[in-house]
Amino acid sequence: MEKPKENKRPVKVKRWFVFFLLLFVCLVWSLGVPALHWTKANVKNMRTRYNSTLSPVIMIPGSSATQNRFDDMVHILNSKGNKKHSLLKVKVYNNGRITYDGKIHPGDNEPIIVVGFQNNKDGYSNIKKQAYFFHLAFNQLSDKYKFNNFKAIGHSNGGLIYTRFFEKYFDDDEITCKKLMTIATPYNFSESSISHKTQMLADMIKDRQKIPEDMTVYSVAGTESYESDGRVPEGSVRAGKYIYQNQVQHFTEITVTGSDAQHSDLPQNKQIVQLIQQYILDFNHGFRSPQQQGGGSNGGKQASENAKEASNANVLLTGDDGSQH
Amino acid sequence: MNKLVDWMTAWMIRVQQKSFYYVLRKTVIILFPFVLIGSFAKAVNRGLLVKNGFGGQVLHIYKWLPYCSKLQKFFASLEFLTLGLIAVLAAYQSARYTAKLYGKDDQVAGITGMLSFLLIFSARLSANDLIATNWLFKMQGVLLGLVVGYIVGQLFRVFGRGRNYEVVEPIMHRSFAAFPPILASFFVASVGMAVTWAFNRMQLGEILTDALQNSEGGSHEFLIIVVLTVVNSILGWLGLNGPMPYRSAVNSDAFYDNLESALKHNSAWYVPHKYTDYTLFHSFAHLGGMGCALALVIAIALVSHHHSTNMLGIWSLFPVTFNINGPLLIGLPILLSPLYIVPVILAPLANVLIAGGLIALKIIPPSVFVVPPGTPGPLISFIGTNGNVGSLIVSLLLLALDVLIYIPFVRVSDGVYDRLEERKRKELKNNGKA
Repeated sequence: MEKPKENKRPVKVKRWFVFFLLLFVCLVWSLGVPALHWTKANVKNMRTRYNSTLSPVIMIPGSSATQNRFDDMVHILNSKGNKKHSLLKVKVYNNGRITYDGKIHPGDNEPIIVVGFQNNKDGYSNIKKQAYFFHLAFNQLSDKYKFNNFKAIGHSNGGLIYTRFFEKYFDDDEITCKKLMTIATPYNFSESSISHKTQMLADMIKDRQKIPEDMTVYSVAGTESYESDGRVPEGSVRAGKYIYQNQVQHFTEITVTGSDAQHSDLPQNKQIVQLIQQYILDFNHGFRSPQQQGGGSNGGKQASENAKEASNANVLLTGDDGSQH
Repeated sequence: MNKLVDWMTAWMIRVQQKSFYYVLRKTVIILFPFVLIGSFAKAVNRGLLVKNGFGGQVLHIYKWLPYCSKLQKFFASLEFLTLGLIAVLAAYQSARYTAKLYGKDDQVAGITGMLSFLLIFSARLSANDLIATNWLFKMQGVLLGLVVGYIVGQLFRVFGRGRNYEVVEPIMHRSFAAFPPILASFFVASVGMAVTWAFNRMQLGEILTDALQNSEGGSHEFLIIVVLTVVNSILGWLGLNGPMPYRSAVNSDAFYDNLESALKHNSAWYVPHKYTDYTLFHSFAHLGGMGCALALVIAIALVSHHHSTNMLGIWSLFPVTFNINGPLLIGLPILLSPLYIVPVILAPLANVLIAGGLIALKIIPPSVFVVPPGTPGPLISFIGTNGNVGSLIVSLLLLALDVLIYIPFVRVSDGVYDRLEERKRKELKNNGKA
C-alpha cells in the first residue's frame, strides 16, 4: 500500500526543513551584528563629512614640476592677505606610495594641498598614469579629511590631469568640486589648430559628459606672443572650450599678458594670483588690486607697468548658464 | 476551506486541459533546475560578492576572502548564463511541448522557437555581433518566451508533418518536412521584429519602461506607494520587474532630502518625506523578495505536508535570505498561479499599510540611510534607521503577519495536490482493473 510510505517521507523532509530554517534564521540574526556596526560607522562618517566646513584648494603642477612648484604662489597669497593658508604637499610614487610634507593647521578651513608625482613626464600616456595617481591621492585625502567640497587648480599638464580625473575617476556623491581653474593647459598639446585634434583632445571631448555639471571652470591662457606663451600655442589652450563649454555650469576664458606671462612664470604672475583670490578662494583677504598698489618703489615706470598689466587682462566671458547661443 | 479546495481542484483540472496552461506547467518544470542554480548564483553574487553589496560592505569580504573578484566574476557569469537567458530557454521548451502536444516534430520546433525568440528581440544587430543582452532574455521575459514558443508550436501544428519520420522515412524527408513551419515561424518572427523595431524607434519602450519602472522614482505620497505596491506584486506575478526599482529610490530627490535632513539634525524622526518608496516599500515589503517570499517559505515549513513543496522550500531558503524569490516563482509556480496571486498582493500591501501607520503615529522612525543591496530582508529597516530596535521588532512582527497570511493558501495548495493525486491513483486503479 502506498499511503503509509507517503506519510513517512514528508515527515523526514520536514525535519530537515525545520533544521535548515532555524539555521538560516540564526545566520540572519548573527548577520545583524556586523550590519549594525557597519551602519553606525557609515552614518557617523556621513555626518562628519556633511557637517564639515573644510574646503581645500587642491593644486596639480605641470610636467617636470614637483609638489614644490607652487611654494612661491602660496607665499604671495599668504603675504598679501590677512589669512594664512596651510600648505600640505603630497607626493605619489610610481608604486602607489603616498608621502606627505607639511600639515593642515587646526582651524584652517581653506588649506592648500599640492599633489605632485614621481612620474612628472610629458605625453598622453603619462597624463593617464598621473590621473590615476591623483585619484589614489584624492581618495586618501578625502578619507582622511572628510571634506565635502573643494576647489581645483591645474597648471599646464595639471589641467589635463584634472580633466582626465573628472572624466574617468571622480564619482563621489558626497563631494563637490566647486571651481576649477586651468592655467596655460595645452588641451591640444602643441597643435595650434582645432582641425588637427590630438588623440588626447579627441578622447576628452568624447567623454565630456562625465564632467560634473555643477562646476565653474576658468581657463587661463598666458602670452608671450599673440600665438603662444612661449611653450603652448594659444589655440591649444582655447581648445578647452570644446570640452567644458556647454557641459559645466559656467565657463570663462581669460588671457593674461604683461611680464611674468610666459608659460613657466604664470604661477607667480600677480594677475593670476589675483584671479585665484577673486574667483577661486572662498574668503576675501583684503588683497588690493595692482592699480591701487601703484606708485611704490620704482616710481612712475612701475606704476604704468602695473596699470598696463591690469588693463591688458583680457577677460573673455563665455558664461554658460544653460542659455542657448 | 474544503469548498475552496474543491473549487480550486476543479479549476486546475479544467485549466490543465487548455493547451497553453499545459505547456506552461511542463515548461516551468524543465526550467526549474536552471532557475534554482541561477538563483543560488545570484544570491551569492549580489548578496555576498559584489563590492557595494552586503558582503562587500558589511562583511568586508574583499579584505579577507582570497580570489574575491574572480569568484564574483564566476558567479556573475553563472547567473547570466542561467537566469540571464531563461526566456530563451523558455521559448525553446514551450515550442517543443506545444508541438509534441499535437504530435509534430518537437525537436525541430524547439530550435525554431528559440531562434524565433532571438530573432524578434535581438533587433540591435551590428555588423558582426548578436547582442544577447536584451533585458527581455532574463526572468522578465519568461512569459513572453513562453508565448513565442507556444505560437511557434502552433505553427508547427498547422504546417508541420506528423511524427512518423524517425523510423520510416530517411533523414532528408524530415528536414524538408520541417521547412514550411520553420519558414512560417521566421516570417512571423520577422513581423515581430519589425514591430519591436518600430517600438524602439518611437521609443515607446523607453516610455513604457519609464512609466513602469521609474514612474514615481522617489515618490512620496502614501497613496501612490500603496497603489504601486499592488502593481509591483501583479507585475511580479507575471515575472516582470515592477515600478520602484531600488536604484531609482536611492537616487531620488526625496531620498537625498531625507538624508540631508537626518544628517543636519542628527535625528531621523523629523524628515520631510516620511512615506516614500524607500521608507515603506524597500524597507518593509522586501522580506525575502517579491511578495515577501520569506514568509511563504516559513509557511511551507509550518503547514505543508506535501513532499515536493517541502523540498522546494528547503532549496529556496538560501536565495530567499538574500531577497531572491526565483525558485518559488518558477517552482511552485507562483507565475500565473490564480491561488498565489492573492497573498503575493496582500502580504506586501499589509506591510506597507501597517508600516506607514506606525510611522505616522511616530512609533518607529522612517528609514533614511543607505542599506547595501543584498541585505537580508528583515534587517533592511534595522540598518536603514541606523539601528533602531523598534524598526527591527516591527519587521519581525510584519514577517509573522505575512506568514499567517500565507498559511491558508499553502493549505489550499496542499489540498489541491492531494485531490489531484487521489484522482490519479483512482484512474490508475480503474485502468488496472479494466
